[in-house]
Amino acid sequence: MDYPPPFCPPSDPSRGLLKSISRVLKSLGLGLLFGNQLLSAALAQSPPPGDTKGELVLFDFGDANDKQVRDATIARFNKRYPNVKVTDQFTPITSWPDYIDKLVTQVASGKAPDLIHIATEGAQLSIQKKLIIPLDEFTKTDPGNDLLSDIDPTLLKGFTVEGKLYLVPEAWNNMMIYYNTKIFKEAGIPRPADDWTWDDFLAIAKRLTSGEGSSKRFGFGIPYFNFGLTPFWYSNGTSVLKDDLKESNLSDPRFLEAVKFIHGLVHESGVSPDPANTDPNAVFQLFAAGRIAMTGGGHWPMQFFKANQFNDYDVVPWPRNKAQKTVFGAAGWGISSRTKQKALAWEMIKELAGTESERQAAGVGVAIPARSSVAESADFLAQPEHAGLFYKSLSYAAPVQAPVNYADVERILMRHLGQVMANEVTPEDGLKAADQELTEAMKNLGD
Amino acid sequence: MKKSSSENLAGYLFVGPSLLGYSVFVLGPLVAAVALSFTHYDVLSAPRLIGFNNYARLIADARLATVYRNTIFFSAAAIFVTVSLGLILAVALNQRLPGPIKYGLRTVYFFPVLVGMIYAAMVWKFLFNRDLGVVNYYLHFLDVPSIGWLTTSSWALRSVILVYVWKNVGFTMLTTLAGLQNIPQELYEAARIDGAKPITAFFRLTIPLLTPVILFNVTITMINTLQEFDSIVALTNGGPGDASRSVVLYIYEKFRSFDMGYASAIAVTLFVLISLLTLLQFWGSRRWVHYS
Repeated sequence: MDYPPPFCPPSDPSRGLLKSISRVLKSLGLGLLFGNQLLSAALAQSPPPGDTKGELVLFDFGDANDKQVRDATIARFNKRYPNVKVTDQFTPITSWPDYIDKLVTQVASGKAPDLIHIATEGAQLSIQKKLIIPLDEFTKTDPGNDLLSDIDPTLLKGFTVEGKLYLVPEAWNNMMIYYNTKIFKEAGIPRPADDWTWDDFLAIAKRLTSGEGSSKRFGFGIPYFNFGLTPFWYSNGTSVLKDDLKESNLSDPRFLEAVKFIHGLVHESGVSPDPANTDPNAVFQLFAAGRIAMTGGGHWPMQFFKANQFNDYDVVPWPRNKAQKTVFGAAGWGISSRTKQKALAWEMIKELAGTESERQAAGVGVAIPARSSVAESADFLAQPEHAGLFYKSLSYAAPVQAPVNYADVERILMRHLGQVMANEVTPEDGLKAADQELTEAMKNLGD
Repeated sequence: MKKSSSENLAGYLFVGPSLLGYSVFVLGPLVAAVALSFTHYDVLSAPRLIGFNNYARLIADARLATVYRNTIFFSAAAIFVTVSLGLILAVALNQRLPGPIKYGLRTVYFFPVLVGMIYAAMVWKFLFNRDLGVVNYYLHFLDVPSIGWLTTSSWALRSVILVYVWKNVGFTMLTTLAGLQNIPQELYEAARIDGAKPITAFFRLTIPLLTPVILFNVTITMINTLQEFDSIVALTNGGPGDASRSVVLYIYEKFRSFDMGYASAIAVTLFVLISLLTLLQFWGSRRWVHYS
């Protein structure tokens, strides 16, 4: 695939002047005289004055709750910068590939935004296509910057390429097992241990599966989407792509073992309903309705549970087979390479990923806050009982694999997996075909 | 002469806006798609001319053959069932029935046309769910084992066709009913006087006089079904595998992979196919369509 020539981000005139002064001082040998600290202070990012005029366009995603948080954030920003018009191009999200498509299309049409809100799934594409710029010039020189000190290094690492940070993490999600506490209690099953295994999980799912017809209850609802299935791969010590994200890993026997396990949940033990045609969010409806005793999800279904006054649930880490590992995906704010107002955009990021915005977001429970102080707040930990496990999972979670052609990888995997789950091909044959197609797709990526 | 010129000018002015709209929104994209089909274009880089490479890829693409096969099957089945069922319903509702029943039934059959496909599909997905769906629940009483209506290759496309027919048969019923009501009653009286039985009158009088409406319904359904997208996306997303994937869904997939040149090449083949089939229909219609 061809890559575009790098965009030439317009330079910030004030910083250009400082750099020129710096160069002159250095050339005169005065740099040594004044010392590096003085130079750094001169180069330090100072916020634009409050009467700065301008316009910022945010490319943004989320649901109605996120929109409320964002509106409040923009209002706070406008108190500092009343002459800056902020337009939030808000997209109710359906899937990451859809969102990434919209971003790329908008940039290609010449209407690039100033700030881009993107998740792990689109980060590599944004970086490699040079849609966003490194933020180190701000994070390392802004004296008032405290954005990163409160964020777990694992989240920062996910947005760092070749030592440069491109996005400031603002929220993230992982995958945990949700279980219905009432059903567990009625069945006399204690809360699973945090280090439970696939065997423990299957045994419990079998005990919880009961009834027939309209009274049928399943032990586990498979979260049937790429992110939702990933903990099955990770907890078996495998993944869709090799670690360098450049080659298919679907021929790994551990991947086959994981697929067979999921297939068996439907077709052998019968503890899960056929997931292939269920809306990804339908499992949460069935879970809240008591038709499914366990399912997998991040922090996002809790808003649905809250709206439906469903409170009989708790979370437990994903069961392990060969490894204790789950998946996470973070969302962060970056500065568009085409913005003409980098300094102002950075001030906006400080507000968007700041404590106040995250505290508000924690209250509405859409995702897990990136700032540990907020994730440990009473608001966030109010529900469920073991809500603290969400942030703790970062110690054993790995980012969702998201190469530049993430959408293709997801499509290829899910299309072949669909045939396996429909029992139309064996897991062996399905994965063999998927591996061939994915290998070809990854080869084309390097062209 | 002067009058004629001013009339011409008025005519052009009336046609102008729609001609402009057609040029910008139909002709322009069409020309662009043809041009792009000869390029490699990933949206963020400038298009690069690659000659007929995209068309050469078409021949080697096994998935394309599958999606074309699906599309043609979908179209043929949907045309046959929608048009014939629409005719049967229209004839049934054209009988002497009490007013409330007649208008009530017409509303019931036409109602799905007014419902958005995505909403309808969500309901159908629940009905068709293999383990928790209503359809299989009632079939269990007849000892029919669970069917993966939307999740097995043998059923997925048929189920989508069923939903399409449910959604659109009201439209063909309505147009056919309008056609039926335009047939002068005197013709039926004359046929009766000549000794024609109702069944003879139906095949010798009703059907021939309905052929313009049938041609209209067949053409519209054909163009719609060859470009079917929303029902498939909402119900099966083309799966399992490619079992219910249509050509338009495949084009969409390629667009989303930013493989714009190849996607355009497939779109051009679909455009040519639809144009040829439409021309063929109008040419063939001279033999079987009666306008008076």
